[in-house]
Amino acid sequence: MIHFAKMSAMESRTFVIKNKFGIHTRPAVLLAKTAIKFDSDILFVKNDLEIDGKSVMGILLLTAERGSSITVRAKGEDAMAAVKALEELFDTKFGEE
Amino acid sequence: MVIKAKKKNLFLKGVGVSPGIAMGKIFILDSGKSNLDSCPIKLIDESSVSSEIDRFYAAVEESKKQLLRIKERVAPIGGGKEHTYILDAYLMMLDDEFIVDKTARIIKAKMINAEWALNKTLYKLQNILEKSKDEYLRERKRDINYIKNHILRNLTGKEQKDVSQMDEDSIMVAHDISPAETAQMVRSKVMGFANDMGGKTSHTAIMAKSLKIPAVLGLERITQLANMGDFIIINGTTGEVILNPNKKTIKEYQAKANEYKYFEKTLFKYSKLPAETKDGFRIEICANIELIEEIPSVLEYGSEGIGLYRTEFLYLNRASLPTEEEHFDAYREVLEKIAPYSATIRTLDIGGDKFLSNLNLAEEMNPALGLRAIRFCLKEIEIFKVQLRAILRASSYGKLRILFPMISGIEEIRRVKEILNEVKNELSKGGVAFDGDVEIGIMIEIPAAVAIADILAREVDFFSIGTNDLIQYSLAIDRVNEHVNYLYNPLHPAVLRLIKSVAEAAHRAGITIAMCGEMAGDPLYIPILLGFGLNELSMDPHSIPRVKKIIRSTTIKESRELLENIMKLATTDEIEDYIQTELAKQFPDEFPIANLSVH
Repeated sequence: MIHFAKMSAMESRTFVIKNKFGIHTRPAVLLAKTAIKFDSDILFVKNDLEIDGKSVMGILLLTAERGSSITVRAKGEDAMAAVKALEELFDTKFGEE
Repeated sequence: MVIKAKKKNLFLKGVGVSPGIAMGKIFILDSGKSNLDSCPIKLIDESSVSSEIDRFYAAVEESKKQLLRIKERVAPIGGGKEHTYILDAYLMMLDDEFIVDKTARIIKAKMINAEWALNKTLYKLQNILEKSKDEYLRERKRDINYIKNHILRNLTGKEQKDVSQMDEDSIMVAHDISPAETAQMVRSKVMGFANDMGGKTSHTAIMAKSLKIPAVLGLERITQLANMGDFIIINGTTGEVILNPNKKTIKEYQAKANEYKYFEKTLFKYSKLPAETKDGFRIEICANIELIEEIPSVLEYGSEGIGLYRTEFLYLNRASLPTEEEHFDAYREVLEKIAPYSATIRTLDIGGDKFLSNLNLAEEMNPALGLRAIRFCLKEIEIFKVQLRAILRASSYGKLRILFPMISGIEEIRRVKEILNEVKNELSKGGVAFDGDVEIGIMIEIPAAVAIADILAREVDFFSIGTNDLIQYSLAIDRVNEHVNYLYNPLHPAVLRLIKSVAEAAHRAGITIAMCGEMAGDPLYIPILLGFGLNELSMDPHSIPRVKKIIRSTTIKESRELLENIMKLATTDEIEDYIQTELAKQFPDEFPIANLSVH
């Protein structure tokens, strides 16, 4: 688990899941693959569950169905770019319905 | 395994996705089955903890290697990497701390064997998913199961009961078949598919169709009702499935199957024969494809190349644009698989709105008349160049032609050629090999292009008539609008005159004239197209045997006479009546007057 205790600033945004099937395997792969591209530490938070945004399994465990929301927190030099890249995926419904 | 009560003569209905009738014993592919049954829990002592962890990591590495091999085999579906996401997911899971690191920690902490440590890890994960309110997300535990079985197989060294252990002549019954399992499929052994999940566009459907194995999908509960070894009949044409049929039903379906086979066989023999009229006029028959997987069946149906490779599939259903390498991989594979024949690759033929949400294009009132196809490519030149570069690079791996869609004027094709030359120069400077004499052609689908066909013919090596759009644009009807689509008819005198005029322009200029719209694959229109003197017809692969049969049973002389008479008629109805009567005389078995159905 990643801890942000010592971190001074970070990017944080909350997204609502809009695609029909929620975050199933395909979106989870897209999200993790995108997160991996960045050096920043990236956390996905849903309810009381916090997971590493670079882990497909972790993302699946959020069981984020349509209408639920996920908060993305990134910390590091490219945090802003990371959140922006992830935002695009959420906004385009991962290219799904 | 739990033996369920045997259901007798039970009729079920699913979606028929690959035609034909198959019957045989059921082989249930149980993807969710764990092979822990044969592996008891074992306590290990401290000295063997690290070797047990090593054994686990080795099994994970082996699983990764196997999945990578499978990925290589299934990756080329349409070239888009998007379709291998499930394999990517599995590969990423095999690196995931939630699975790998956690299992290693459990081996150490609980001092148990790797098999059971893995089971413990994944059981917890599955439990979390199980609690989801969403049924679809709950189902994701199947992916975890797949990973578990994969690693377990490598840990125990035992083969999982998989497809390769099927008896001859089995019908595969499964909840769903993963791309990985599909890739392992041994064609000669599987007679048919009956799955709980899936529809017409699923991976299994595409695969079954290209392998010509009857398949019924979307049966919902076939795995719950069927037992290993039960007898089953599937009808991939109608979507019917009969579990443990009685003698009467079996007899009935054997008769149906024979009928279907006879029909297939009598027509199928035409696939290997050249498309040549009785008086020696030869026409080239090609196939329209969208996916690389279609190529084997394309060849089997007797295609002499690919007349239209639609590349849109590479762009759709994805968050980012395909890379040059993805384009290149797809084109190269198409060329290698279709060799010694050639493939005509059509450049992107959709509007930007369809696949790029970040381009901020204005919403269009009438997309068919808007910024799409070549217009889009000439606006987004960098996107266009990526595709052209990949096509040119692929040209050194086989025979290809480039086809540009939606050309309406001479300026467009000149601009396209300028861009193509720029790309060629860039490649030459970079020392990249390509075929310098790649032929280029344009789709003739806008009435304006027909009007100036004589001028356009000077700029290109071939024309390909796209009848679907040409009819829509020339008759000003939206085919999907139910109020006007009755007007859509290839036999409209205006449409026939347009085709005639293009064909004549091409002949005068000495360039190849092809047709790749739906009209080209419909037996009813073949004599007309022969009469126009088209050089190539490109169609849905399944239409090829019947089209060849028509061509081989007629003469160019008869076709020209027929066409001459048709061109004198004033209305669509008159033309339709005339051609149906004439063809019923010439081909009584193909066009019995009673059930003439074209659409």
